[in-house]
Amino acid sequence: MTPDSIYRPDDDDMLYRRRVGRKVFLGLLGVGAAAVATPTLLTPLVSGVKDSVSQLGTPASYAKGAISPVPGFEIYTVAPIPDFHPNTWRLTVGGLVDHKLSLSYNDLLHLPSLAVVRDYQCVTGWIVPHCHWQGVSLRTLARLAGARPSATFINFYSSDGVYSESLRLPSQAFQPDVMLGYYLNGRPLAREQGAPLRLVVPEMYGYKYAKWVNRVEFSDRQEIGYWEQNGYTVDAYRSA
Amino acid sequence: MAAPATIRRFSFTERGLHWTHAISFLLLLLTGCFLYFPALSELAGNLRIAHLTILNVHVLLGAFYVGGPLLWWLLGDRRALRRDLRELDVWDDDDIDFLTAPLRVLSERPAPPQGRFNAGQKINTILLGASAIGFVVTGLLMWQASHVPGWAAWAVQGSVNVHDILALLTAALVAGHIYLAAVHPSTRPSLSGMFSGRVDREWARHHHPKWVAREEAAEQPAAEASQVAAVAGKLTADN
Repeated sequence: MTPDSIYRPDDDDMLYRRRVGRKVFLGLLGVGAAAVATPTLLTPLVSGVKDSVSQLGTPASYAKGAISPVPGFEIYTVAPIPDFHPNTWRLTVGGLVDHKLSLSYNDLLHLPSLAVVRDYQCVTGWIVPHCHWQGVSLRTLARLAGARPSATFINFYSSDGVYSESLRLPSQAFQPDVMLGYYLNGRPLAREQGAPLRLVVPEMYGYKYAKWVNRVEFSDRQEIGYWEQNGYTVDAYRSA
Repeated sequence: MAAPATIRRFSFTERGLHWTHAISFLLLLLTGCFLYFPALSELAGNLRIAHLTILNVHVLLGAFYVGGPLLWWLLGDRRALRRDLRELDVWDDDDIDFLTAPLRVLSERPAPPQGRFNAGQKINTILLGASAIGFVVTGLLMWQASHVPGWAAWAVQGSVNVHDILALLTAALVAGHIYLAAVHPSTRPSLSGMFSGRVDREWARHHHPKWVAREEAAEQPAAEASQVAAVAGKLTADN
């Protein structure tokens, strides 16, 4: 059987050979490193893909945990539940502040605290009445960090790497019942419910209560949060 | 004596390394889907495999993904692997022609003659190899950052981006690779090369003529070769 391409071994001597493979390989590693170091261009693309991917699956709830630690709550997540290691966990407070903070769990528990009893209402309709929240008020954090007058928003970031929320400063963030909460009904937050820290905004729907918050940024820009990117309102005041 | 119907393309080490890496990749892709798609992580819920979460399994598989090939390099036939690297590195004019002709696989036009790896295979290997490094580095950054808050926090978003993009790219590349290796009629005879190590000789003469020609030149019995040399020497002497 004659091959379509007529190959004569002597042709080899006429071929120019180049060591290209290693250069392509190293070039690709370089591009990768650059992409890791400069996320600004790629992040919108990647987030966009993730958001459309999240549309696949049940519309109402995305990930129900098997157990509700505090009765009455349904657990929704948008990413795998992060682990909490009390010894190494830190809350970082940064952005438009005079002193960036890095607080341990212990530090948080020893700050001046705030307690409120309010209903928790999910935007899908269910309510857990009389939730006793204890935590650190955002006023306290702002004072500690020396938040600057130029900050008009606070953005909250979850350690799940996906979820974020935001509040206007001071009109929403400094309400007397708003806090970063670490105790619910007298007990530390369960893993599924946002351990160790979640944003508590009793005037608003549950999706504002970002779970697993480990980073707070004072900013002059509002970071549009996960559900708001999917069409839910930013100023999620409860109507009931 | 007629040449055997098959010709040896891949050694045990090369095949072992390929399968260790390939199976790890497929399992990483599977566990990765359960980490990436909210509907799937809901399905998995609190599932544990031998007390390990899906994330634990994914990270462990990552170790096999690069550690496996490394072990094959250390304990296996390094000479064969070094030859592979050389062949991947050196591209000649035929390789460039092969790559620059569009839709090579789907057209029926004759291809420029190729060696043991055609240019498409060289590119595929280089891309998947670089992706493996990219996956492990970004994976490590994300994994450690979630365990040690503050550690490499600047790199986390970038790592998520690159890890996600690499997953899409490699999934597409591997789908194409599996199609050509196992489904596409004119290329699927190559599959036996990765199982038994041997491929059909006439098929290889058609698709990888430069390699077969070199192998057959080497296979010539020594007596015949010296006979040829003697005649050649006599010819030049007469000139």
